Amino acid sequence: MLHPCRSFAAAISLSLFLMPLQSKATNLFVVCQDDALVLQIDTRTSQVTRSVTVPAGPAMITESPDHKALYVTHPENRMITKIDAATLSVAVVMPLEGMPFSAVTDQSGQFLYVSDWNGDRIVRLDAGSGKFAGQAAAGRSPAGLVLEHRGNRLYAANRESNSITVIDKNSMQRISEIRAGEAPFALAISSDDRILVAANVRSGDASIIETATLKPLARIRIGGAPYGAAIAAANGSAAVSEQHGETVSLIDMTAQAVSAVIRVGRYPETVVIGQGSAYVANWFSSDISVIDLQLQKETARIKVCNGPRGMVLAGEESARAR
Amino acid sequence: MKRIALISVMSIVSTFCWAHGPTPIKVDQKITIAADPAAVWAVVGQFGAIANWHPGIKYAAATGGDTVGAERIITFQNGATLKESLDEFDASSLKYSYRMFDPNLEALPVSSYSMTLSVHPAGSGGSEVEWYGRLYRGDTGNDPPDALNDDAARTAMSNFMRTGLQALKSKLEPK
Repeated sequence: MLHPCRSFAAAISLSLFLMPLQSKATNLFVVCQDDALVLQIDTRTSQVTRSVTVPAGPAMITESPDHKALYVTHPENRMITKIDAATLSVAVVMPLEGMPFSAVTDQSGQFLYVSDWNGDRIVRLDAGSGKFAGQAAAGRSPAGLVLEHRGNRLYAANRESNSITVIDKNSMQRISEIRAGEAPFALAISSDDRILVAANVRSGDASIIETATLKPLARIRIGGAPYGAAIAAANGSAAVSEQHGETVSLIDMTAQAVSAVIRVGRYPETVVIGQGSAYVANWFSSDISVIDLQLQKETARIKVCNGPRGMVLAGEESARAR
Repeated sequence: MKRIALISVMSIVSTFCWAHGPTPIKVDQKITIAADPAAVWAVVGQFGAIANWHPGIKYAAATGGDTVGAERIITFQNGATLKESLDEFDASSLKYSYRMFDPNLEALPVSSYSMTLSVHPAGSGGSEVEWYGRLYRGDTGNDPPDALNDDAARTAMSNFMRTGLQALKSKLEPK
């Protein structure tokens, strides 16, 4: 399953070249922490098309805005690897003291921002070389990190201080601190940058935050331990994974209420959304649940490598700033 | 000496209290029992009654019954305690999930865990009990000592689970 299928990949590359619009967001990249692998899955066929072995303990992943590079964090290995998306090979190893966890690039692709779990900071690196280019203090144990699609604000979920730090990405100055639920871990931002969702692991709910005022609008009860969040670009609805009940809750943002609870695999974590589907990495059962957002049900489960954690749907705007 | 060791362990706990490092550890133990699922569930399905079947637990003080948010304080044979709370309880599918509160490295060298216990029907009227979960090592810093690293956490929790499941099997199977 994990052997690269070169001719198939080549065919896909050709189709990407010929039909750039239709081929948008058909590549899902999955990081398997236990196997130190990054897989590429064609979402049209649910097949693994390529894979690359990376240094030990990879966790989260993001992509550059031009889709040419992927960045994978290795918290225990004190590094970020930059992967060339065309060849799916490690191009640059960027050492970083601390525990790099989430990463996101800016809109130009010049900088990479990384949350440092043990350093309680957000670090800015040159996205090409990995050279240090500034930092800002966050709260305790910053985990999820997102950047506005068009604005300048970075948001970091501070898991151990129940807050979200807001940072200006240019000055690397802290702008504000927003109160979240208990142990906010994952963050998602809407494609219009107006709404931020935080998955609160310990309080078992999701914070809905208005970015215009930097104020929480609501906390929506999910139950258990919410660990992942994504917002659909199409209608602004959100999907939040919950590890203990092994579910994904869909949130209707207009009603600010849970509209469906869908059973997925074991210990679901990262959620990404694209083209009407949500993809959920089930860490324990080592598979990906595919949820049709219109039908509000799981339509497929894709077996992957061991311990899937971070994912990125290439070319999906809401997925880039995970 | 023992006190110094304890103080150093306690300082680690306070530094990383509630810490929940970035690399989770998977634990998974299963056992088949020659008893029907309802009989197995009658023993393991009461969240507050773990001391009735797990020999590693001296006693448990529980509040809230078998509803989400129920809590139990379990006391290990060495006197160390851990508080746990129920996150999910599904009597129809014979399954519940719970998590720990503050770490206590004297109880288990683990900083955080969430666990699920479920009972499935197995062949010829028997049952399979599966106990699985996600945990983080005792010291979630970059360079944990051997006693608080990933292997120590995985081994201690797996042993705890295996001991419990074997005792459960002995209790339920006809002699």
